[in-house]
Amino acid sequence: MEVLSGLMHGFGVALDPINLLYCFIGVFIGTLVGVLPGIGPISAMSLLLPVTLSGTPEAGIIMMAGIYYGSMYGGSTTSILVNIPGEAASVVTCIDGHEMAKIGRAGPALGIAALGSFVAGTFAIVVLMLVAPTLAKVAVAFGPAEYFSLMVLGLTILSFLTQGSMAKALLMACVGVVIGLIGLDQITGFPRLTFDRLELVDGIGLVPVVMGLFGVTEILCNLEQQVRRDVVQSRIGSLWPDKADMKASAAPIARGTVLGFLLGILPGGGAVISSFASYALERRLSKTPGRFGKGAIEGVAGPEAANNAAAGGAFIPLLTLGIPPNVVMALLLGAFVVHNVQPGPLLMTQHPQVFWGVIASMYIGNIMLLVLNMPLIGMWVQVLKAPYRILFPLILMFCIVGVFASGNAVFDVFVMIGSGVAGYLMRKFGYEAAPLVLAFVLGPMLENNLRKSLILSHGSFEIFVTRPISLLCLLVAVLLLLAPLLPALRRKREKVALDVTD
Amino acid sequence: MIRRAELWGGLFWLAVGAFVAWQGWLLGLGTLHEPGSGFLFFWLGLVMCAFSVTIALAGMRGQGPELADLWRGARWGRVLLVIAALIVYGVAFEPLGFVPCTLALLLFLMTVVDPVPLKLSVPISAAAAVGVWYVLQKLLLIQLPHGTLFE
Amino acid sequence: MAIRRRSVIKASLGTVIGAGVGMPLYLPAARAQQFPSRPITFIVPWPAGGSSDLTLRAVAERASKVLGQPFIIDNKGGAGGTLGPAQMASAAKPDGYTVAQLPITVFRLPVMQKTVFDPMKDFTFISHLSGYTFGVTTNAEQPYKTFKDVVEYAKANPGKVTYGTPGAGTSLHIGMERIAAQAGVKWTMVPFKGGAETNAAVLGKHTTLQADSTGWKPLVDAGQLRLLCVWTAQRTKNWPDVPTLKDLGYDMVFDSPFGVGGPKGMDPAVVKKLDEAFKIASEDKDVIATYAKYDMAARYMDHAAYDKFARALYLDEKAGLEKLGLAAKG
Repeated sequence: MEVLSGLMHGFGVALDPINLLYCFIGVFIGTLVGVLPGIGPISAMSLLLPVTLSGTPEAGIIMMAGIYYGSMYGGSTTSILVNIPGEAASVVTCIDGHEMAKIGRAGPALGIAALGSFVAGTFAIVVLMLVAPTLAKVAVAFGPAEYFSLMVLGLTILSFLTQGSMAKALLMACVGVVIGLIGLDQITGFPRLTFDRLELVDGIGLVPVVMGLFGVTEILCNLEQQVRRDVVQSRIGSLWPDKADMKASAAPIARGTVLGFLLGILPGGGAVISSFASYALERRLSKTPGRFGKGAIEGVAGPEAANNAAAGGAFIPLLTLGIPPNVVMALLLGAFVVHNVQPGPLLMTQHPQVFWGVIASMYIGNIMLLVLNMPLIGMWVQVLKAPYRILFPLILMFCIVGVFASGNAVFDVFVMIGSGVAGYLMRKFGYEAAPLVLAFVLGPMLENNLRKSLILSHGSFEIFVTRPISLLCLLVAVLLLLAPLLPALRRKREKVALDVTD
Repeated sequence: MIRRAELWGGLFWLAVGAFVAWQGWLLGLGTLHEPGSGFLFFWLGLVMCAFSVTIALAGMRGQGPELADLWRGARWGRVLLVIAALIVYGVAFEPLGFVPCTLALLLFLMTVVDPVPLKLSVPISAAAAVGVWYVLQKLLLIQLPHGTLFE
Repeated sequence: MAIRRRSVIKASLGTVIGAGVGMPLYLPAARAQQFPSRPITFIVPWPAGGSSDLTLRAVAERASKVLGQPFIIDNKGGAGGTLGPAQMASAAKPDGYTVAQLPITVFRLPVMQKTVFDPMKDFTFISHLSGYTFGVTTNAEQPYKTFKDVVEYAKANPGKVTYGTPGAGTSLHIGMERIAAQAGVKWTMVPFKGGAETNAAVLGKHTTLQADSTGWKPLVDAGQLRLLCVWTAQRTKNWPDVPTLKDLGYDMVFDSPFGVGGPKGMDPAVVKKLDEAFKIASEDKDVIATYAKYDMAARYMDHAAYDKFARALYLDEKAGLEKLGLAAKG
């Protein structure tokens, strides 16, 4: 009842014309920066933060939040259309999303991504509203030992991600960890593998690596082909997901939503793990896993839902504890504080109009996003009709701009070019890029939390098995790794292997 | 067997793995119970070596495609041109500024690498370079290099 | 926007005239006079959204109104706040278009390990701004009611008490170790990545204590964390009942004084312009209010005073670290 009256109050705030306008501006800018690969919500939010100072706290925070979840919506567009993931979480969307685009199904792919995002986003808000304080406990239950075990679990996803040689995939994962570890050692502050280059002290950015490995590589591979192959076959099928698509996607969206929401609460790589995990899960559960990697709509629906639900889950520690689980949330925390509103346990009682106003505006914003994005799909698909010789220079330009804007450094542009060349050679020699990206994100967290755990336990490894959550994660990881050895499951995996090799 | 792609790929990664392990050794391993800065590097390097040896061995046994096959029929000249253009772009980006660089890159790609009629390439390049600059700089307040040479 | 465009035109005119007269030697002076003619990059060596970031943004915003050019805040966190200044020292031109916050770690890290910069040689100290409020908290469910309780427990159980800090070599790390040295106890430092993580760590009881700047405020106010002591010179306005270190018998104050600096070799005229802008900003009531949000107070010093202060600070830090055995050998 309290929730209901709070929500009514919130809608009163959110439906105020000024706040509606701010909400619209927010989701609009969010869609824009989401579609431009590389330019994430971070740069847009930090630069627009001062603009909101003139308005009320609700208005400013509503707009900032709008940019954030708006950008999550648009993130899949370039992944599907031109194989450029704007962020790590979109990498998995590329795998099947772009394949769908190649066989003329860009419309359904984009449509299901938007629908999945909408469902996941809305679900996340409902749960956020109902049980935020309870779930906040989950976020703080994760200490270094739990994170370590979660990262181990995350890395076992690798074994489900690979389509070719396992040795090569694991090698790529090692490379990913090594690249991810470049920079200052967080525990001692000592520079590692930086070769006295200051640009490397900060580590290598994820965005340039991902955009190089996928976006630039794709272009190079397309260009060298003798027969001109435009991005999409001339025949563009329907613009919308049909009934069969919807049916196939319903369960993946539901599973992705739950997975994403739970992992999103955790600070750190929650969104990335959840989208990879959702993909692995769908492939595992599928009756026809061989279709994955060749344009399976489940491989788009699940991860996209996970991605967006994670974005919603990330609000929980911020709103209820004042703990921002990622950089974007830290910015949002900043938006609260500059308006003299302190997110935390007292937010709901001290500033109900802000808390409920923001929640209600997220419902409205999600609907706005759906309305805004659906008509855009038709437009995006038209873009693919343009000849590739005109399209590819523009794609390259967007890659460069996005990478530069993400870190404001030309060095990053070179990292992207280098990754692009590396990715081209990797594709030639049959090495996959997805394991590298996953390990790049998880590896450094794995190492860091391992060392922190050992500091806490005074060097004893018992800490990983005596703590229940940590033990659970490790057990699941072991189970997943051993699963192929169990006879019943083995048959299935062999079938996968057969499907893949042909 | 010397022509096998897997062999060369494996040897390359073997070198990388050895290098990583060596760097890890230099950084200090610490102990198992108190890992140092180089601990993970060292072991990852060794693991990489192990994987690359298995890959190279597969190549020696004559598995996988031949090196020449990978580029058979490929128009690799275009790939090299694009990479070269990108590097030049990166070098000139800050001194010349965003708009001139981007304009030049787009025109190069649309006239040399994969030709498009001039009446298309010129307006598209100009519109794209200026349009993107406008959206980023003016609407999103993101700074792009304006060219230090012109100061 | 209009202002910016006009000054850009003015700037290019100035350059054209300077070049036309053919006296390149006069160019620097001409530049100083029209400084700033484009946005200034302000390196904040902390992630966006923290107390340092937000107060510096407020200062920068006010100062930009004086200068007529916006500051572009560049969040370059890492290495305990030394990464941004180090990059500035080695890569930025001393033209006044790149400045950075100089946190105390800039004076400290070079004592502890080899660094690419020398704090006494590689910076121009522009203006001193303020300092932070640090405090030690514990989970309210923990049995420790006072700081003394923790110290006593630590005495009986060496190494058992753990504390989270926002990184190795931060004031929090040094401060806790100096307290431990005086109290004759041993506790274990766990480095995290900033206030969000230390909050979560102490709240989830992963560490016994949290030593950090006032990011714990909402949790302390809500009664989920217990504030055991603050490290400021005087008691704080928000928590007047919480003792300072001095109250507890430790004659120490840690507030990590910070200011704004540029690369070495800046034109004095440019330094003066920036210094004046920061002075006006420090006296602004909005800026003071922003400082107050994070329990900070403006402590402005001009270029000359800050320069002297910085040199004394460096020697003090060096002596303190050497006493603790944290200084690098050789």
